Amino acid sequence: MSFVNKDASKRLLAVHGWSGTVLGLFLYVVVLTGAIAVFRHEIGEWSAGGAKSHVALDQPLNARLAEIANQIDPEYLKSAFVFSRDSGEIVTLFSTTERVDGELRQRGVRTVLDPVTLEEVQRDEGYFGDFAPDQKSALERFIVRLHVSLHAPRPWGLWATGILGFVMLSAAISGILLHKNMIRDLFVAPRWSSLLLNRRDRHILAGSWSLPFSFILAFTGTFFSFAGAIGLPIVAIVAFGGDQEKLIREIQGVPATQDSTPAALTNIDTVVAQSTQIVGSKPTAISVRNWGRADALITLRHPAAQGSLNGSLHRFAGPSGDYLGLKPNIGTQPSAGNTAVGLIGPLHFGTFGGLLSKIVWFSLGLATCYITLTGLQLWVQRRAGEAAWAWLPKTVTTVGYGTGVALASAGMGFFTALPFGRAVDATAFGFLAGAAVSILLGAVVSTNERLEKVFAGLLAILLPLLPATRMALAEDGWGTLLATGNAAVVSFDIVMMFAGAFIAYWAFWHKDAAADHAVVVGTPAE
Amino acid sequence: MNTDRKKTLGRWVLAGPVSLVIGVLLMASTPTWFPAGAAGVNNLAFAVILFPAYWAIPFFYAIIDNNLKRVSLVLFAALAVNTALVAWSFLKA
Repeated sequence: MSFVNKDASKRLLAVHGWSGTVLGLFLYVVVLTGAIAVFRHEIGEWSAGGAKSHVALDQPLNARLAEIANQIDPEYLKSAFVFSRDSGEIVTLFSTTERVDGELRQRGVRTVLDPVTLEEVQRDEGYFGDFAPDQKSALERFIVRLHVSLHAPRPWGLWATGILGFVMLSAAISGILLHKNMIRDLFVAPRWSSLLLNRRDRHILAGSWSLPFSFILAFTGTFFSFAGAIGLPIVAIVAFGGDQEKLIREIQGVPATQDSTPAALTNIDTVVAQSTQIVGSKPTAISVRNWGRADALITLRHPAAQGSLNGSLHRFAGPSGDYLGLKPNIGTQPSAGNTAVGLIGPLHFGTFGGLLSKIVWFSLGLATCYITLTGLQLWVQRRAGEAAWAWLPKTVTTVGYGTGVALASAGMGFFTALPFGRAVDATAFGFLAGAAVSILLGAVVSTNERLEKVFAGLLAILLPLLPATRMALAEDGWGTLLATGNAAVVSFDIVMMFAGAFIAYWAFWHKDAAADHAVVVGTPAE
Repeated sequence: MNTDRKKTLGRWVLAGPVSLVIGVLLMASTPTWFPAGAAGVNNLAFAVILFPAYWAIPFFYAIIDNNLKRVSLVLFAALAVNTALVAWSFLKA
């Protein structure tokens, strides 16, 4: 039984179909890149050719950090942040926050340290937004930005992906409301009597199983896009008269009492050891507020412990090194708001259960891509013969495969330019070149069936070419990578090769039973 | 313009821009009525977290309810109440 009456069903179906048709291809790009971005850290490690060291912050850093702190403008000691990149390099950021043209900006010094020798390999000073981006993480960053904002400037990109998130949310909710029999739809056997019915049943089957996932992903994604773009500014206007700094202080839970009396900072290595013992895992980031002052605070971020969804923050007194307890992500004490905000990240990124949950989230993301594309194919098939929609089938194929081709091409650009220090530009250029070739193919290849084969062939070549190019230009082979704890890099190489082989098999050797049946039985109108 | 077209257009306006404005206003008014809790941040956090729901509820209500007059009444009442709450928070400040 449907949740809504016949007239409402018609309107819901119209919203479901039209929103999917008008924005479905953009949504597909966002969901596909999101599914890939689930493995952003693994991609970062893979594209960098492995991490030089996995020790990161679990090594004596105190003397080196104190040395940097003594070299820089004391103004930058207001905020210090230390973390390690996927390539293993340790980054320190010392800064102060300033308001420039009505916008809050961080100004300070960034140093990049070799993770083994702790030698300084790079130093920049100025506004953080103006620093040259890291070359080794260019591919990972490109994919994430494509997912988050479609590479459009702020806030337009965030608004665009927020609207796409809402389209997905409305498709999921209308999908739930439109089901006449949810249990039956969960176990529907795709009919073979026609291609249209077969595709419709497959769309319903995949859609029914991934409805909860689509809902969670769309809700959290809409939150992420709109929270920064409009949410926080609006809440700041209403609750704090437009004072965003006050809102940030309230959310971060900055202590009200200030004491600028000079006081030496405790040994950070001792704090790291103490925190590691308390939590049972190594910290992934260290932050120090008011370095060298009596009110200095050291906060360590630890990854999620066994049985926990979220990472945790632990606070220590700067001068004494005394443990001050858990620090909530927002506010100064535990709250329902902090718990709810803390749930959003793991649910969106699929990081709550290690590698297994990431694989599940990636697979469900691909299932959502399948639903988006089959939904569009259904729309096209129902309007077969209508001149107004004749352009859509090849467009769906071009975007469906072309996004993959463009991403693989971005990877090729990255790997070939990384040794020359031009990976950031080459990644973008590779993506644009791949997109241009895809559009050109979409325009010149005569039939949709042939276009699918051409794209599949292209992907079957490009995907294994990625690890081949990486290996040809990298310093370390598989043996060295495995010996240095970089199994993730080898795994990714193998996955890419298998992905290429699988696409080739599916496109050129696998027989589409539904298409065969449709040829025999015909394709009657539904 | 015939009646059906007018109704479709009216529903489109209610489900589209009006629902979005209600969603934004609901988010803006939440800090004024949602309990802040001991940490003083619940009203701020839930205002932003609930935004997708604040947008989706009027959107689907405008589509599902067959009675367009009732939809208009309910949505404009929601618009008025939340505008008043936001205005009150400014006057209070």
